[in-house]
Amino acid sequence: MGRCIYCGRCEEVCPTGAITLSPDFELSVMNKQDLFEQADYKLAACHRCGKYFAPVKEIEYAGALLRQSDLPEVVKTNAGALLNICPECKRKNDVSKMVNLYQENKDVAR
Amino acid sequence: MLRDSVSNLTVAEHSKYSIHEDPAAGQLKAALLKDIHRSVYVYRVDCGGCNGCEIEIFAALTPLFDVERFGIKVVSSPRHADVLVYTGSMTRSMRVPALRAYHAAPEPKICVAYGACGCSGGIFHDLYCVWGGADKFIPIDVYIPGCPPTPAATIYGFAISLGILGQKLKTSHHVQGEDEHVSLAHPQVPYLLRVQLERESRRMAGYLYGKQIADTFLTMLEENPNQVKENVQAYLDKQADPRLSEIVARLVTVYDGYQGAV
Repeated sequence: MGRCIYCGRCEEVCPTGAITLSPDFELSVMNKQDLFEQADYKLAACHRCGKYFAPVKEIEYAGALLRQSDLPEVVKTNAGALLNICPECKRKNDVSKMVNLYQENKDVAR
Repeated sequence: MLRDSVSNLTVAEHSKYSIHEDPAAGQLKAALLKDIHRSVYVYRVDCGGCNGCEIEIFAALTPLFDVERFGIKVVSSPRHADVLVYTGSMTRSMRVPALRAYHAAPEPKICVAYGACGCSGGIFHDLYCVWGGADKFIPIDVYIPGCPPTPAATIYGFAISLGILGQKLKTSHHVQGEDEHVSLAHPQVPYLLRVQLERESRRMAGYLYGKQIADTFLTMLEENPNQVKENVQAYLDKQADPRLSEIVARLVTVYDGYQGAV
């Protein structure tokens, strides 16, 4: 909290409404440690490569939003399958898909 | 002397020379706080801030807040000071004057780190010329965070440093529980519709009021999707606010557009 400038940007962008600014002003402390708040969250491992890449809570939230949306079921299943995969593996996945598509098109053209 | 010996040191070398408070001075300070029967004199040391903190300190001196009624007086020499207020992040070129002010003030003295910059370097913490907050160089007794701290926060900080009030903030450590999940906002409303409504509302009324207005609309939508227009109209009639009516009318348009698309 010692570095916060109370601009409210975090409140503005917080998607879950977890952060709210209050008019409370009694923030002075004798001990610098009291200005810190720490939170530990479990990390999720990528299902492909096993690297930890995001908090479990965040991925669960993304999945819940996906279920809440009224997108077609195909889109939901396809996106849901990629939920537990890290960004790097997603990129590799996309590239291999594109390569396959290119190969298929080439075969068809022949 | 001091200027010559310290001014060419790097951060790492400087930390070897950082001041540690004498235990005897600590006892004197406790006695001062207990037996003080006069005004306290405050000297401001600006170590390289934007002057926002100074403006708020002077705002605390104006008749509206008037810290002088508590006997807190701002003086113009560290020789007179009981309290040293360090504002601004500690810049390379101001660290020696800051140390000189510290040594010039008579014991017992109370040091206050004022503002986000004084506490930790603030938004300037990673600048090439900023060496951190005041606490890296000087034994700090009280931290007053804020950018800048309001006059009310300033008065509270002085009350803490004089031992009149106790501090409220405590450090906390949260560990994720077993069944801890993020709860969805308005789970009955489709996600894309919610985003569209929130965006339109924010566009019209800013993020704070926009969020409140969108939340009201979404709650009404969740309660009774079939009768939402009648309920919204009744709500608007009750509020009798043309600005609110216009914004909510736009939300209804967005809602109709979404229904039409689906």
